[in-house]
Amino acid sequence: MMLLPVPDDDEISEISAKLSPCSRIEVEPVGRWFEALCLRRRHKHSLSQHSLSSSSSSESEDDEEDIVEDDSLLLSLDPKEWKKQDHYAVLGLEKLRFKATDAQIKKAYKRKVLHHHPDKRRARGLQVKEGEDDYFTCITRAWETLGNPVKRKSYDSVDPLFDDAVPSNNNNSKENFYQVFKPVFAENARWSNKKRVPDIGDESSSFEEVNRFYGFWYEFDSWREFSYLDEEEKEKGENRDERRWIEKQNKAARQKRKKEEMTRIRQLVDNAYACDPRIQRFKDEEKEKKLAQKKAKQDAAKQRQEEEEKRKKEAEEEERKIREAEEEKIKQATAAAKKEKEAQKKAMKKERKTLRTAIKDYNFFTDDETEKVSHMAEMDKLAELLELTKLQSLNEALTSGDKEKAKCAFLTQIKELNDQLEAEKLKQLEEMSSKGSGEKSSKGGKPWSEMELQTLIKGVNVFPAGTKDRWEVIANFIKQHVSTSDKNARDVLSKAKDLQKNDTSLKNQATENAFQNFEKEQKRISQAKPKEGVLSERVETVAEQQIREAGTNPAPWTTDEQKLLEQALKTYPASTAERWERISEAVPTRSKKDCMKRYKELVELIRAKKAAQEAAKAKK
Amino acid sequence: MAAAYGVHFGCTSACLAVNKDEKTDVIANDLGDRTTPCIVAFTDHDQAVGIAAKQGMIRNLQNTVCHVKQILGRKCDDPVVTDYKRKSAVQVLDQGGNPMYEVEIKETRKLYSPLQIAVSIYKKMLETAQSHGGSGSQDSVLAVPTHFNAEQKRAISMAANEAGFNVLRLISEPSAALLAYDIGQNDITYNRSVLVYRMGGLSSEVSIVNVHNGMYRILTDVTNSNVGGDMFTNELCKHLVTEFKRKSRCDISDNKRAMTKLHRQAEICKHTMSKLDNVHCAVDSLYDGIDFDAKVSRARYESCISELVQKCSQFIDQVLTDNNLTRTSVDKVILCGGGTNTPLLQRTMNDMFSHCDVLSSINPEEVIAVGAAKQAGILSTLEDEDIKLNIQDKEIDCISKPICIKTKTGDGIELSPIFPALAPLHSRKHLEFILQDDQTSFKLDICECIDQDNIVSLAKVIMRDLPAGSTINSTFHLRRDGHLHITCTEKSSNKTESITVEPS
Repeated sequence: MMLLPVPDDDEISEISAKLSPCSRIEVEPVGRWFEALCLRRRHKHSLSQHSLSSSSSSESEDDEEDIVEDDSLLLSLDPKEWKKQDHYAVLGLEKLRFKATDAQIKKAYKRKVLHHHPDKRRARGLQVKEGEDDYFTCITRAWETLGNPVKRKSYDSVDPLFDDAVPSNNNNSKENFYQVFKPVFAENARWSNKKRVPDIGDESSSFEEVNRFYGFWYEFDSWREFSYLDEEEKEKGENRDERRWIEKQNKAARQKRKKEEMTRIRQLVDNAYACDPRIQRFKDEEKEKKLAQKKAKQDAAKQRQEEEEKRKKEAEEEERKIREAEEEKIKQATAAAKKEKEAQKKAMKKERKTLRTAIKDYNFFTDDETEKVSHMAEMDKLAELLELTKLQSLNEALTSGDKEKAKCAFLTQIKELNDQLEAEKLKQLEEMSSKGSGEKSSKGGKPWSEMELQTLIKGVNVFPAGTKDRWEVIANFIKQHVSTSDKNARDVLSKAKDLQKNDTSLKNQATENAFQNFEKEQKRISQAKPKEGVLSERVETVAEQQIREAGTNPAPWTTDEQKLLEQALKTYPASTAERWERISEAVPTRSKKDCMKRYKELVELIRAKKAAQEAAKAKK
Repeated sequence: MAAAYGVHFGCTSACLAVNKDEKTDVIANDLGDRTTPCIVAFTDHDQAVGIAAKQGMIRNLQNTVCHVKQILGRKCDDPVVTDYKRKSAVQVLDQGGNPMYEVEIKETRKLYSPLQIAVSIYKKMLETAQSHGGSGSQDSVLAVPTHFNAEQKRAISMAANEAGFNVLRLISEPSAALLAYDIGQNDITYNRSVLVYRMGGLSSEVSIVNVHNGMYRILTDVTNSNVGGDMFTNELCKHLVTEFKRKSRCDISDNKRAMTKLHRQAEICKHTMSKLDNVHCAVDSLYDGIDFDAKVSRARYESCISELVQKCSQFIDQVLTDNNLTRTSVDKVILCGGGTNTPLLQRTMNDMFSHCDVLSSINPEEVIAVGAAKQAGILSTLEDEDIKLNIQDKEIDCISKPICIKTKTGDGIELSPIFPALAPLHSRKHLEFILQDDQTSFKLDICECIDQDNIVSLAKVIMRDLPAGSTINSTFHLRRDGHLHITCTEKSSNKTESITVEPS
């Protein structure tokens, strides 16, 4: 216990100095005193140095102002209707309500008891009603309800001052979203089982924060229950069955209310979600983002396409240029070629004319009419077939003036030409024969002896087409005549076809064979009786035979025959007498008729081709 | 009351404590250990955390990440990171300025950020927490070193959040240690300085915390990375190497594998040595098939580490003199960190601070976690709004000099403190005086005083003509604006006298 000194007589209350300046220090955010200070700073209380030992009692001073003394309320209460009374108001805690701590409630109750207890009032000389009828019962009831955590919870759940209203989804709540919804959510947050209810935030809240907020509220876990509103108390039941029935009734009612409450919260969150400008903004942002992405994608595609087109165009342009240049070149080339050709033609014509006139001037180097005619023909041939350079040199020789020299040159030239033609002919024949032999060697399944071949040809002739089992019969025929033969019908058929196909080669072969035979025989003969007559043998091919028999060869023209025909056509110009006879001679497997027919066909073909080309050109 | 957790995530080991029903306990992990090594190992099959990772360390050194706390929240250009890179067996790469571990897991090379490693350690801690208090996110307070900057703090709380802890607050390690011993919490008038000596695996730290009005103020905090618990192990290891050399004539100091084996055994020896006098140290097939077996006495061990302990005491003295303090200005010493379990170190500290308590009754390895859990317990009772810490909250205004009144004792005048120095503004105090039977007046002399010789009188309240023996209620109100308001009331006569002292 502290004692204070006695003042001197002349001393009065006074201030003699000022406090030394405050200092600001930084402390660690640790410990209950720091927390207490923080709390007080926030809630504008002061730290009480008086009651340091326990933090709960330190609040007592601050509580005083929260407790309201109002006897009129108490006096107006009807003890029978205690269930409808506002228990917090009865205890004077209507300001704190659900925020009041247990200690505060207890303290408030004790205060009320001290003041309003019937004995106390009697002592003060006030009138007190008997028993249950006195308003003091209300205080007891209030304490019974609020002093018990379970009962307090059920009373808190139906706090008459709690506003169950849910802001509707209209323009006003959209425009003033935060003003409208923030207090509602703050009010409803008291029902949460979980601590740390997320704040509704503001315009600048991030997507995650908003998401968390709605996530929390959509899964709101409420402790609110409605047992306080039970119509009948379970304890009032007279027997077990009745009590059970009451409980059942109550349970159903509670569940119904709970369901309503859930839908209410749900409605609230739904409305808020619908009105939340941030949600709309996030959605828009999302949409925009998607759109932007899409657009970017499209733009990229478009750009790519454009680029491609551009590139394509450039390539086309280049190609076109190249093509044009090429065309130009070709045009020029063709023009040049044409010019040259024309020039050549002209030169040719001129040379031919000079040749003709020169030879005419020399009177065809002869006086004999027949020779003249032959020379004339030769000259024509020369004029037609000689190359320009040769013609020029010949002309030079002819126009030199020397008749003998000219004649000599003319004759040599004719000879050369003829030789050349002959050589060509020979070459072609050779080619064909080699081809034929090649074919034969490649095709020959079984070697055919000379005898067999000849018998085959004979057989073919003996049994013409149409004979029953012709090839079998021929095979038998061969077998009869050549005992060593082992050919069957199929072999015979293939060989005959072979022969028909390249009869020339066969002919050559036949002639060759014949010649060999002849030589052999001659040897034999020369051994026995030399200088005997030559044994000749005429070997005919099937085609030749057919020509001989029918006058035509119905088989289609082979390429070799065609070549021969062309060669012959070249060799015997149109002016040649008996041209077709000669030509047909050059083509041994064909008759004159065949050749003419073929020629006509060819001419027809070429004409048709030309017409088609012209038509195509005209079209272009 | 819901459980709240305190997590101490150290360089070498992590500890988890729970506060529930006003009791604080350390939770043992699934293996029954009260601390979990902060080691994450990557193997061919999976990722191991804690003791499992530590056990596989010898064979999997290049895929075992240790001491992640050192580089957590640091950039690559930080000298600490550069140093760490050099020492670490794990490949540390630079990716956009942030260090990344490159490890081999499931036969592919993968990059892990220090944050990911920290997350996996926190996840392990969360598992432990959930095994104790059920699933769901757990309210927790993290203890971080005082020297952590904002970036490091952010990284560590991010890691804890990602792992599933609900981080309520970060507090500094020394203040957590103080809170664990409830210093200043029950006695608000306690106004002294406490020295917190922490010796972790890699560094030691001296913090001097001033306690006043139940608030902690860290006066200084110095970290010395030259002395740490691992160095004790290294010293012991050196001794064992010479011992082995003497016995088998083999020098194993170049053999990395043998050294790792021996080092591990030395660590176990060291731990045992804290409790026993003689320790048997044996490693099978240490080198070239030769078994190693040696007996180490505590005396021998202490001679090995005496130099290091010497360094420690020198370091503490250095810190004290740097802050113009002496050993006597420290009222309490708190030991924390595994290294302070060393008996020699404890003895040395006791000798150094023989005038005061050297507190090590709570296991030094757990003390920080316990403090953090206590803080979590305090916070978990509060509303959401009140937990949030604003920057200005840490700054408080307070009076610079104590305010006293002169009271009469039997033989004269004595000073009774009303508000101690550095009492925060916005405080009140109520006092009741009883007048003596023959006393009808009193004088309340209010003054500022630093000590007995330096008293400045502020004001006097004098009341006369009071009923003898009555009770005087006086209220001292230190207002937010710095005014001191004094009211004295005598109840029965309803006489009141009040006076206001302005601040200068």
